Amino acid sequence: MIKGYHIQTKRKGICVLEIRDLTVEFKETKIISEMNFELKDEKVVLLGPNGSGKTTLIKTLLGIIKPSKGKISIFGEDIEKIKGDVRVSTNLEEVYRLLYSINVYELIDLYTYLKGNNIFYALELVKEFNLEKILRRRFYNLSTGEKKLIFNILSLCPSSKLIILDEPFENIDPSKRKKLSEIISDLDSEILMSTHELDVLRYFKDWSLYFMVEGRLYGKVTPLEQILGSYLTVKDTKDAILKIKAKNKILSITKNEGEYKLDEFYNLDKIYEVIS
Amino acid sequence: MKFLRYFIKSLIRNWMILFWGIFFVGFWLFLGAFVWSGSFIDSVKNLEEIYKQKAFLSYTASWYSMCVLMGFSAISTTLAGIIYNSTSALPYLKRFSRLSPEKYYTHSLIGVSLMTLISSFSLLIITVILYGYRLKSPVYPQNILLLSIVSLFGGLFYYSLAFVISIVSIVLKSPRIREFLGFLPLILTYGVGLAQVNMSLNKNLIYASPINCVLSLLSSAYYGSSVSNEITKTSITDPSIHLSNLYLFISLFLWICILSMINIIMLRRVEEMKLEEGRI
Repeated sequence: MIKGYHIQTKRKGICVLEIRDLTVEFKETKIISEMNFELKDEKVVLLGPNGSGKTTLIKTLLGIIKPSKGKISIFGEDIEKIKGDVRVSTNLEEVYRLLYSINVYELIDLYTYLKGNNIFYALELVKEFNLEKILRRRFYNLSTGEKKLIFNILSLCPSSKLIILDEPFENIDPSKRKKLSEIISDLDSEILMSTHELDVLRYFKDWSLYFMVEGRLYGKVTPLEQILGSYLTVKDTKDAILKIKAKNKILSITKNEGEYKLDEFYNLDKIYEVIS
Repeated sequence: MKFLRYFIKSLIRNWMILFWGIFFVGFWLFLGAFVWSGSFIDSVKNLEEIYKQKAFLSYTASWYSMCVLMGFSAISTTLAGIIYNSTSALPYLKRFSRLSPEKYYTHSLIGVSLMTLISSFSLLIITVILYGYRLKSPVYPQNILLLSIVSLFGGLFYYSLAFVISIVSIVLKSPRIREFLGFLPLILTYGVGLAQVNMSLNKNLIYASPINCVLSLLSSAYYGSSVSNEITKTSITDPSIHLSNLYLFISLFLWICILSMINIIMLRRVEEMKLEEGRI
């Protein structure tokens, strides 16, 4: 495990990420509805089924999508005014599409340079994941899982104080998932990580958790350990840890008993099956 | 500088650019030298040696300049697709990296100009060998410096055009329109370029058209003096009525400036376009 690269520069109490009344619409459809959120001295998992708006939210936070309404501040500065702030990083694929016919080493070299990092740290991670053999391969020839790992590596760079991860475990083989989760957990940076997979939550027991369903945030649950081993019931119950509205139904997450055991869901897409 | 270095590398390694920008156009040069040159050679065989030499140079210059232009337009069409895809990274990189939109634009502009220079010099070597062999006479370009400058300016123009097309495609939010618009440099080049090769176009029309400006200047650099408004007839027309290289350069320069200004302004606003499926 690589340690000691992240320099602790956090000032306690500073709101790293702030979202106020955020709405994102596509044509007439609301993808994100009047969302409010704060990230302050913590690491957060954003758990939601596919199509719940997680990636759209991340793209909006990174300035790739312009919101229809609302305000986003990162390190206290309005996202519209931010220029050249290398403290924010992501594993989102769109961000790494700048050049086409370059190999993996060149992509790493280019992006570590653009982010003001030393390539050494990224190459150490490449070694850790046994990816040295793909360094000279053209990037577009990699498998989806290999690409995802490279994007993850590039986002976990030392200058990052806020890391925004979109489904970092998607298409990653099980042997590397554990290693990746350990690296992510050991980081000093503030992290916002989206996922629809429930089995990875056990690696992040002390993090906070928000559910995202149909463009709305529900939570927070902190530590997220409370969710592990909990139950889901398709009705409004009094002792719920959290209540979620989906397809005009109330879903309750309860600690001791309920209709469905959450641990038995491989991913949160199962919620829609349960409702219907 | 790393972005510029890798941008150039990615262009040189792009088989679409190499094939359509050099090899395919090289085939056209071959056709000009060996398939369609028969009637031309017959028509000049009784001329005095000095006039025959001029006719050979004029014929070679017109084929070379038209083929280089076809190569540039093919590169431009490929670039329009590349730019369209890469612009989704720019709103993020502008905010959270050292790469500004201005730096991205200027560095890629330099990269493409160098690529077009490589393309025009590769085609130059092919031209000198094929046409020299076929016409049994040396047909070397008369002004290499001007040829290099025009190639660089041609690259600047075609990149600016590809960029405008990509940005317009993003604004219009339609992948189908993008596919059509992507071919616009190719369509325009074949249209107005071949028109000047085969017809006597109005001078003002040539001055106003940046594609014809590049064609005329390339032909002029190869031939060694200003060219006629119908470039294949340069050697038999009165030089006093030939096109002015200065006007051609001014027009081309203005076009590059206007397109670049539009691009830099629009590039800053790319992220202000709302969510759309075509690009994101």
